[in-house]
Amino acid sequence: MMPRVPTRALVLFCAAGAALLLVPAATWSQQSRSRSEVEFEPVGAPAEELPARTWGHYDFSLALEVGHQQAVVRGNNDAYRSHLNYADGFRVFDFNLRGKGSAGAFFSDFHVQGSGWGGEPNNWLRWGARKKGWFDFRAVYRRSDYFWVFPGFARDEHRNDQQRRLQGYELTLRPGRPLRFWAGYTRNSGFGLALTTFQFTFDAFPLFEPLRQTYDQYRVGVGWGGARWSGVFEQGFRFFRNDRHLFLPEGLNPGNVAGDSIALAETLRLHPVRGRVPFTRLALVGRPHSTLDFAARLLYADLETDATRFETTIAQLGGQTLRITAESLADAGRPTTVADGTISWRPLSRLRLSHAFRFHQFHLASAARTQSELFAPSAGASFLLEEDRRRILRSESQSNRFEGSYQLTPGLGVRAGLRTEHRDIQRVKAREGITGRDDSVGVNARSFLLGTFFRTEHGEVFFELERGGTAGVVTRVSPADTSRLRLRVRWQPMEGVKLAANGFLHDNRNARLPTAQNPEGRHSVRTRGFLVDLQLARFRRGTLHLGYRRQDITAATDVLFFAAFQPRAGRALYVANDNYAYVDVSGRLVGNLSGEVGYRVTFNTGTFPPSDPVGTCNPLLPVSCDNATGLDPLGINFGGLNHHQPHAALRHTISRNVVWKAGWRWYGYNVKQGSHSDYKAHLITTSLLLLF
Amino acid sequence: MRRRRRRRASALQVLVRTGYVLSALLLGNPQPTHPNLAAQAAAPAREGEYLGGEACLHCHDIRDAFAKNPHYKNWAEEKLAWSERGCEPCHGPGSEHGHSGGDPKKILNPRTAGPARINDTCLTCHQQQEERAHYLRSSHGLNAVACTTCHTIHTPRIKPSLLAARPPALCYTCHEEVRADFNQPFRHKVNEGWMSCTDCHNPHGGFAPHETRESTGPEAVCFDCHADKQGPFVFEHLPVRVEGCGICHDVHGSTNPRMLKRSEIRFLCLECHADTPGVFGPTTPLFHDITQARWQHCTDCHVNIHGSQVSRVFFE
Repeated sequence: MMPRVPTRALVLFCAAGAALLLVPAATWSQQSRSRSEVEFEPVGAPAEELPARTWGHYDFSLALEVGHQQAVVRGNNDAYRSHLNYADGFRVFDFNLRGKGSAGAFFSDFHVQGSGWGGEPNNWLRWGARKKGWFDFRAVYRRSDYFWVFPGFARDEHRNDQQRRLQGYELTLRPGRPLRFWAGYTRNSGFGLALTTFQFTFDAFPLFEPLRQTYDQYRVGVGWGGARWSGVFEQGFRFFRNDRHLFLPEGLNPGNVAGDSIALAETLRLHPVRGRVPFTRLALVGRPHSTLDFAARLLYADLETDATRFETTIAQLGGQTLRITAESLADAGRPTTVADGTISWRPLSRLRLSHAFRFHQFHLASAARTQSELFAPSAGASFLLEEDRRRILRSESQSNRFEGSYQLTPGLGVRAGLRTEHRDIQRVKAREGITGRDDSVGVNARSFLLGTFFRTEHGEVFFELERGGTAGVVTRVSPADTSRLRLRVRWQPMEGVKLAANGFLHDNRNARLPTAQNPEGRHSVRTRGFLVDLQLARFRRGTLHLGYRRQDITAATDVLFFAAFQPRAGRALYVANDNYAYVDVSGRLVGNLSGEVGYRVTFNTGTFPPSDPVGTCNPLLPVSCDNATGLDPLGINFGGLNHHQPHAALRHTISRNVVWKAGWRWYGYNVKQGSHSDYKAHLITTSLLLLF
Repeated sequence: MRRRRRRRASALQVLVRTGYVLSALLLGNPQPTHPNLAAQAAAPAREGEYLGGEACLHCHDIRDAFAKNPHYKNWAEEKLAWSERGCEPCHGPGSEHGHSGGDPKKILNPRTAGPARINDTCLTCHQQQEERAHYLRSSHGLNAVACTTCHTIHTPRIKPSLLAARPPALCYTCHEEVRADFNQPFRHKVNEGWMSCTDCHNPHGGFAPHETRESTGPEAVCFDCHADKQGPFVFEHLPVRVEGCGICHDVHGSTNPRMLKRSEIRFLCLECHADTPGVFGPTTPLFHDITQARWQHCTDCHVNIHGSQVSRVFFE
């Protein structure tokens, strides 16, 4: 049973928000306010300027924000948890303990910061200490509750209720000195339960998969800095351990396809995987001459995994009981090398020429041997299948980027460049006793780069253009013909007023690649949009920030698909017209009471689920229903979604050391044309910020 | 027995500490690391050009604020010339500014100087740090974004990196469109503070596209957290390895579940698996009637779509 929305609290916040909107508008003045005082985004750690207290050789400061959070959810709780997963209860919203003391014997600086503990799915803790010239120690611990039961996506068949923990520690000795050393350790682990699917004949069966994954990474390094050159050498090791253990719920499971005569009585899969990644990083940076900069790196990793699988399944198929057992041994190795370098030369004070080179290569060699036995006790028949598959893959790419920039005046610069890329892929598939099948492809691509910037005291303009191709060889998504354009304009006519506008275009198009069954064979993706943003920080009591972003995506690919065992040429279409608007107002209400109110909304239309595209313009049929061609976009059975995020907050400074805060956030997720995934959630918080 | 262990432990501690102190003594104090600074230090003192940091404090009352700043560290190093400590390594020789009674045009003022000059000043020392070696050829550097756009040297709001604001708010100042991405229903938890823009991107530039960082040497930065997708797998899904996660995912945020680039999986898969010459992806099998719901959700069966150790079609 869902708890009721506390109406009085909502009324209070709405009233406060309305007041907040009206008060600043009535007190417009020429008094300016620094942009840095305004922080619209809810970020983790407190941004308070902490008053320090001296204790011995150290100045300490502490900010601690504790309080209570109430989450009220109506609608689909699974969707809410998949998106947000905020819970009720006592919370440590933030804390920030800092100490400084250059004369201190043990450290010159230390900090402990944290956020989101209690009632929050994502929380973190960072701490560290350093003594100038001697050591620098930093640590981080992050925890995330990952919940995924999203209705309508992949038929709800994949679910997760897991916890991910990431922790990292790094100690640097002699930081900032010509020769420094470091050692680090990172652990990434996952626990919890997942539900996945098991493909058997033409049915899929849900399997439980308790997650037990750990990754341990160790690294040591040395850095050296000389008069003109500096270098870094780092050696690391990552060990991967995944104890996969999948099983079917007890009982006879009919599977996900209704009407078939297949059921599974038992499935157990033990599938442990182990991996090792030794990696090396070597970097050299230098300025051999006052006009010449140089940087180069060599990165190498030799990744290896080995896996075993033991699986047993008991199935009921048309009144027959079948027992299938399978054992697999698999291993894979993938040595990977990246070598890159850049050199920049400044022959004139205003002219800069640069060349960057990147070489990336990996070889994958892998093999899997599987032995399966199918046994039908009633017929007394058994069937043994052995399979040995091997893969060799070689991928190599080289890219060069030549670029020159010239500064006509201190506020005006132009640049031009050329990017070239070559990629080779060779793949050999082999089975025991069968000659390997060899695929190979090589692609050359190049693109031209143009750019300019113009800057005055009150504004700036940036413009970038890339035109050419990219060397995608595996997918059609990186096409032969690409255009990328970005324009940014910012205008600040007076202190406290800022108007910004962005325009962006990213068009990809492949050459027509017809085949007998797919006579069109075209592919294009167009992403275009713009953004306008206005910030006013000239109210005596408050600030206003509002903006709007529009982004239109149209992806159309002529495809071959099968319907009723017949090949058909059609079109895979994705249309998304995204709108995102936001307004935030913040300021002082009366006395020491200040507040903020804001609204963020995403409203989209396009080929969104659950409106599986059918109707006058079925995207799988070669009908031009691309909204960029000027044809009636309403012909497409459009869906879309609305995602509302209004919020309001109050803040009362009770004393120099105590601040009271209250906040309300509302999340409304609504998929158009009916959906089971809609929800509305209120998140109400109240807290005390204590500053010591 | 315990005494022996204690003695061994204490002997080891003494050895480590002695080694540490000796290395510190042998390797010495920080040296001027940049050729310009080194050259200035080696050159005869240019009397009358550098006034010394104390002179600046007569008019500019910033000692208390600046004393907490990492750039203050050289102030007390009396062995160094004033060209390397105090205010003048960054602001340039101050004698003309001082003798003219504080003419702002006679000293480098970052508020009025162009970005190129500001960047050159900062990179005099910071260019040789691997993290910042690519700044001038990064997107920021090429668009003449000054270091002081993000960093506030004298009065930083966020002290560890002298930042003007905390990411992501700082990054949103210019990248407003990314703010929209991180407010989509399916997104990485950046606004929540769980991760930061700089976890994945190096704002000072690098070799990888989009100024992304790397994981375990040459691997994509995504594998820092999503290590289970790193492999290697016996049967790799090639786009993951060759063209990266961004082929299928909108990595900042999306209106589509799993941050996919398409709202329906079948369309995403069909764009490659559609009888296309020159594309490695095979055409879907004959029995995949894509107009039927049974076959529209590809990952229902192809569960391990990022790669599998035992199934060549990513069933398990």
